[in-house]
Amino acid sequence: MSVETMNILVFNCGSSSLKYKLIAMPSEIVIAGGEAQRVGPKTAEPSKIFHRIDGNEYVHVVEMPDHFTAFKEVMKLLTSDPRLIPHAVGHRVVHGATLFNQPTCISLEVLEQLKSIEHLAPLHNPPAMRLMEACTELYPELPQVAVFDTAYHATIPDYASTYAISSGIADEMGIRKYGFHGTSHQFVVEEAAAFLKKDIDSFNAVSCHLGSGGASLCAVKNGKSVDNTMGFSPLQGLVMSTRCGDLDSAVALKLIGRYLGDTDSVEKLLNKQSGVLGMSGVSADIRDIFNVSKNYTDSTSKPDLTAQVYLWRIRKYLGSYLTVVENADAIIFTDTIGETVPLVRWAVCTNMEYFGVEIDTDKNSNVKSYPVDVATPNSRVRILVILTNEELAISRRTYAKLFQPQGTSTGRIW
Amino acid sequence: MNTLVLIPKTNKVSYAYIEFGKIFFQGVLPYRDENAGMRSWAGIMEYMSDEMAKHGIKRESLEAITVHGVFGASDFDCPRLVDDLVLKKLENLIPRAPLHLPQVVDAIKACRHVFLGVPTIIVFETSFFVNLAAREHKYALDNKLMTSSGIRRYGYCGIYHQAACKYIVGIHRKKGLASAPRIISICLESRPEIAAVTGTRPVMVTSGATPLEGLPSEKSCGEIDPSIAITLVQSKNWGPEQINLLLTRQSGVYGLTGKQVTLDELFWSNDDKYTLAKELIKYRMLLGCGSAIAAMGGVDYLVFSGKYTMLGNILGPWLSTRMQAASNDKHSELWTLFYSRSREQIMVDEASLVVLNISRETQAI
Repeated sequence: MSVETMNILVFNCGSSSLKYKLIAMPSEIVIAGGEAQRVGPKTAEPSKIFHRIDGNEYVHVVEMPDHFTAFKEVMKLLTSDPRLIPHAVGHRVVHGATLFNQPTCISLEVLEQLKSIEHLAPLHNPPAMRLMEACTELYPELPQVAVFDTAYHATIPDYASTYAISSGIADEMGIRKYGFHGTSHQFVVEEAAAFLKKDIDSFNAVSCHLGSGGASLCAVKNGKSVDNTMGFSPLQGLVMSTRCGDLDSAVALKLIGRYLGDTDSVEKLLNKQSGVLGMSGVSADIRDIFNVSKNYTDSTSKPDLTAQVYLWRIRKYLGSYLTVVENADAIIFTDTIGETVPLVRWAVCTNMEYFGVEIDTDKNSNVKSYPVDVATPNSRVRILVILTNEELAISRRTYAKLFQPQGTSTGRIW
Repeated sequence: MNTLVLIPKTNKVSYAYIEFGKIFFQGVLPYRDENAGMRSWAGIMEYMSDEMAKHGIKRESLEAITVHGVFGASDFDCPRLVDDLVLKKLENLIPRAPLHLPQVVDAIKACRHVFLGVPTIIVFETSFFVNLAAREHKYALDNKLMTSSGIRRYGYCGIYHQAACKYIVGIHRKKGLASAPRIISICLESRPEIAAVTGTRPVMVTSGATPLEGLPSEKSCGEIDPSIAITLVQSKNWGPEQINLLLTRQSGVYGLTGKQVTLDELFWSNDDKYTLAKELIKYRMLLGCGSAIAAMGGVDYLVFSGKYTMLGNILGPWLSTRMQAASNDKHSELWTLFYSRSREQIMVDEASLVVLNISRETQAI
């Protein structure tokens, strides 16, 4: 193994799945990838690993009662081929609280620290930690780096990250805005700055990570996150597929009263049965809702109320963040909805000339390749559509962490 | 018009006697005082009668009583002369505003009893926002739940916003401009609120289903992640009432500083201990202004109202500078104005219109 080349195995651990990608660095060539599905207790269908290599997909049916086993099986597949030997592992970790504001090499001490913040992301952090433990036990020689979704937002200033509640309770319980989707936001912001040939340290933007599930906006000033629509949890902010986003807390309290203190039911209602699904009663995917009104360039067409609420929330936050970052260089759209649904970009960027935002309707409707700028030539603010690639981002950060001297930037290094 | 204005609150009532638009006398009367005990609403109205006599005002000269209503749900989109039907509707709304509406209903009943024959007019804070577009007032919750519980965004400083925006429209017309002005209206009360208003039509407001949402206030938290309430129940084992108390009475400026200070005192103070609270509130206001600009597609006027209107001298330049910095046209004009009439005076203006309309209708008949 040389410093110039190494295979980084990136893990993105879900509560019942394990996605992986093996990326050669620094060439950024994806060598292999796949997903272990139905990890955990037995379900109606057997657990499978969909393993992709050389343009082919192979399905392995194998019992995976936990993430430890899933990890072992994935490693078995990879290490059986000498081309696929990983030299380091990068883990996506959803929550780093205030303990981890940059990629961190895994050690027993770090695992202990992660345990202390497990309660902040009870569905996401524990499986990732099980994976780190498995890797430490079975492949102790393999360096591991945790890349945190919250880390990019560590630069959000106090006045934006503090909630106006009793400071004693906030400190005691770690209640503050953490922000999420940081890995994706940071990745597309760096890509955007490079695309526009701007220095990242003076690059201002609003990044719109609009996934088919979760979604958030990030205000970026001088290349750093200064605000994110998600907060203490991923529930706050935009309307999402099944999450309500912003909600008067008095309503949440009312619901807790109505459910006689059964907070699990209220959590389920607000996280799993609200948002696009709750409002429409039809689908959790906003694309299904938009399909009822395809003629979106006609301003007289009336999309479903769900679509209106969804778009209006994005638009209001976009206005807020364009004001906060002042001289924005770009608005960046990414992830499934941001990349593939022109209607969203059009609806939230139209009639925003105050901010120097002018969208080119034709360019926006005919995006063929990425990255692309869909603003008019006169638009002061560029409107970019950039594919997010969290695995590549994690791979870059892992590589940088392992091969960059301590204290230097963990940003784009080539 | 000679009007007695009543603003009933949980444990006290503010009152003012207004003659031809000018406050003749005013005061605050506690009625749930730990030392003085409970005072009935009939007793309060007798007190008002005595106050009038003390100031040399005869009962016969009282032309109307105007009562302040914070919450009128979607049922009341304008001030209303109280009759049996209106009273019944208000009583039906009590379960939705159990802390506020009972004393309003009691006050109205006492007014009708003690000042028999004097018209009572109720003016609501929420009326201005009843016709907000659905995209603004809907939450992304299950539709049935929202409809059955009446959960929607209202806005709670409508009386100030409406009057301030009418004032701006007048100025705008005097300039000979026909288009509807785009106004960011900032009401600086103990619970501040921002509204985006095109002409006199509101398009956005920071408060929500209750005044808890939106900007932080002197004692309430404003917008927070809704999961925080759930986390507090789970971790502290507190009930909804206890958390409600924490969020509505022990948060905001008080929660951040540990001091009972008004917004006015906070912003005029140079104490370093207040820096975070000041910066936080200013920042939230800036976010609100940005949303308002996006909602209206621009902004022409920034207007301040409320009891701390003059705080606009501090906040106005700070907000304007940042809004201008985000604007494509750095030289575009953004007018900052102050609307200084009190809530009581505005309520009388509104009530006068109701009385005028009634007398016109009566004459027409």
